[in-house]
Amino acid sequence: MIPHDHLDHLDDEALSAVLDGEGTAGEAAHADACDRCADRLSTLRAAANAIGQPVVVDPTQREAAVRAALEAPMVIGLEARRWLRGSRLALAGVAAAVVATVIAVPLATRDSTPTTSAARAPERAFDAQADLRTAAPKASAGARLPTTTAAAMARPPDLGEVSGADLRARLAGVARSGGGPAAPCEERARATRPPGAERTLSATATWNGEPAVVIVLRSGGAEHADVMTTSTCEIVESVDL
Amino acid sequence: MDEDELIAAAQGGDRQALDELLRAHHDRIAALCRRMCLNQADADDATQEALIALVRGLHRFDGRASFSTWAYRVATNACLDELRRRKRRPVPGLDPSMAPAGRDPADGVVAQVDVDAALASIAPDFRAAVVLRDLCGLDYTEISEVLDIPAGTVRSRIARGRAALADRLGNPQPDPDRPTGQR
Repeated sequence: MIPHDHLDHLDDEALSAVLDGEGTAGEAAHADACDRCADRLSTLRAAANAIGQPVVVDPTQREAAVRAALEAPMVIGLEARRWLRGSRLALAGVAAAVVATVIAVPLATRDSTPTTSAARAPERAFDAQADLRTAAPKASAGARLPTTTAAAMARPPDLGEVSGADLRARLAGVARSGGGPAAPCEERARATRPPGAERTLSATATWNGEPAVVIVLRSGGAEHADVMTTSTCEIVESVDL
Repeated sequence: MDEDELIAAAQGGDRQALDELLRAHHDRIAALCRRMCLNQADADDATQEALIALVRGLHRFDGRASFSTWAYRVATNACLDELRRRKRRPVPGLDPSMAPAGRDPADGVVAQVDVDAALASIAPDFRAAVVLRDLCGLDYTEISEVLDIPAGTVRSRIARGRAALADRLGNPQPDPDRPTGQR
């Protein structure tokens, strides 16, 4: 070891780089030779190891999240977030019930006592599937959608990236499709327009890489478009058409 | 099918391929979100949003970066968005005072709550750099791509983040003689 009081010690940035194999040869040699820097390196390594501890992922959550992503509405706003949370919970419930059924059926066959909790698993599976149809209608093949839910989940047009784009030109060729339930962030757009404005279009878009929604409202014979980020409903672009 | 074929098939509308692709990347994304968001409910939301963003943005993936790097980028952004949305809401169980002082992290496995409390004590941008390195195993160049910052800044953020975590998890008294190397 080199006596440390005769050296300029490495700072945390250099030691951290050494830990990651991104330091210079000189830095690595110093960290190896200097007891004080070696101690600090050991402390940083322990912190890195703590953060690197594996995270256990629940397989039912994986199943639920993937299925919900495949079935999700294209507009990601507050309503959709609520839908997703309900959908995930329902799907996780179904996955858990299926597992319970797989375990329970052989048990029920072996032991005909109908009051055991295991023997009730198929009932719970059925109940969970009923919950799924309520919470996440599209996730269950063949399930009928309530009219309002079906309308809400109809995919609006996607305008793609709109930041810096000519929004008027982008919207000129998009067919108007007003009516139906309120779109995400519509209330925010309406707050800036005269009362009674008619929605002629709601579309999804991307604004500076963030999911966004475009709402076009008509009032007094003129249309006005607002672009809002779906996470906050903040109006980021506003244009008269 | 290898991953490139899976991506091409998914981009072409093959739902089974898309399912497989999401399934293959879910656990890594969920782990990243868990460490970034510091509680399971927010992590689940961020994971879900990341998967949806992958589905919605898949047609824009051009293969210049690896799919994993792109997925991590999408997931990190989803986490940062989630944290911004929830920043006014107190996170239960993450009072920094909960981390026991004086524990030597080199002693062994550090409890999950300690890790969460320590991670909560550093800013999300620094946390992202550390988690991408120490949990996800990305190198500095990949982290630079994910976070869209220069490699030098990656190096600095990882170092400062780790130093703060080390102090939080271990001896809270910093060595007064040690240079900090802050950038």
